[in-house]
Amino acid sequence: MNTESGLKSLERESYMAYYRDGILDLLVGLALLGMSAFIIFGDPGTGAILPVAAILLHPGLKKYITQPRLGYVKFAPQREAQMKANLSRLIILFTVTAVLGAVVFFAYSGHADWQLWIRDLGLIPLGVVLAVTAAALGILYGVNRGLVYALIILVVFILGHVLHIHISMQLLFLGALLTITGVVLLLRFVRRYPRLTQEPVHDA
Amino acid sequence: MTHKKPGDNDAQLVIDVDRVIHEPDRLALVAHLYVIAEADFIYLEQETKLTRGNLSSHLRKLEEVGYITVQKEFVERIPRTIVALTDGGRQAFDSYRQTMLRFLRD
Repeated sequence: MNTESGLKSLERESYMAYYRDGILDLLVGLALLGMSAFIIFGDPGTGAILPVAAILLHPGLKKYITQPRLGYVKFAPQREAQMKANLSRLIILFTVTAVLGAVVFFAYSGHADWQLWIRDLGLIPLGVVLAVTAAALGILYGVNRGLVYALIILVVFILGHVLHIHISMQLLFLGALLTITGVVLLLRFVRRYPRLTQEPVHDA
Repeated sequence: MTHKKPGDNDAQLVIDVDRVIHEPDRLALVAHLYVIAEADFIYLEQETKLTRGNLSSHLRKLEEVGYITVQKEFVERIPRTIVALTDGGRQAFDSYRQTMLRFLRD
């Protein structure tokens, strides 16, 4: 291993530490479990806001759990520029996801050939939208498990369609998977980065 | 900082290597600072796994030779120490890297 790759690895590990806390996995997993419950109890509309709530809670939990453990770091200008660019790409991603979601939604309100075709696919288009979102997030932030999640989501939605498994059970499975993954990652993270007490006043 | 001159052998260059950086804990510390812009004490403590006393001592040494700047501030009433490599510190680390790479390559 030459020194250059060692230093790049060092920088990358520092950057990636912020994305290994499992908090987003846990929040989205709990949201999916909640959605499943709301569908089972006949109120899917209310359940639909849970993922939004999860995303809104994420920054606060990051500030409370992650940042005090990792401390403050300002990355080199190249990485900072990449992070800013990622923010713009994230906004584009969510816009595209919203548009695709709207297309799927409106497929159920008409009888055009494309709308009937989408309806014949059941919830697979929704699964595709979710999988694309997970994959894009994984690629944006260099988190490989985003791609793994994307694959699992596709498999679950396709199998769900073929085997006529109710959407609530599909969401239950996905929610449980993400929640367990999130918990494992979070436990590993807090063990690796114990909360340190306030730094000492020293004369360095 | 050492500069290779005609007649110098690599062993002599290593003997004359910058011992401020060459110390293992300080090497780890400087390497972490090299790949970022700046960081606080907590971050460095977590990344290097040094004890607080050790970390303070090494930071003091690096500051004495002008390789780092240390700024203290309060964020929401909590003291925070921000550390960054100076240009001199980056040059010293680059020189150290070149020396060791040259000496250790096959």
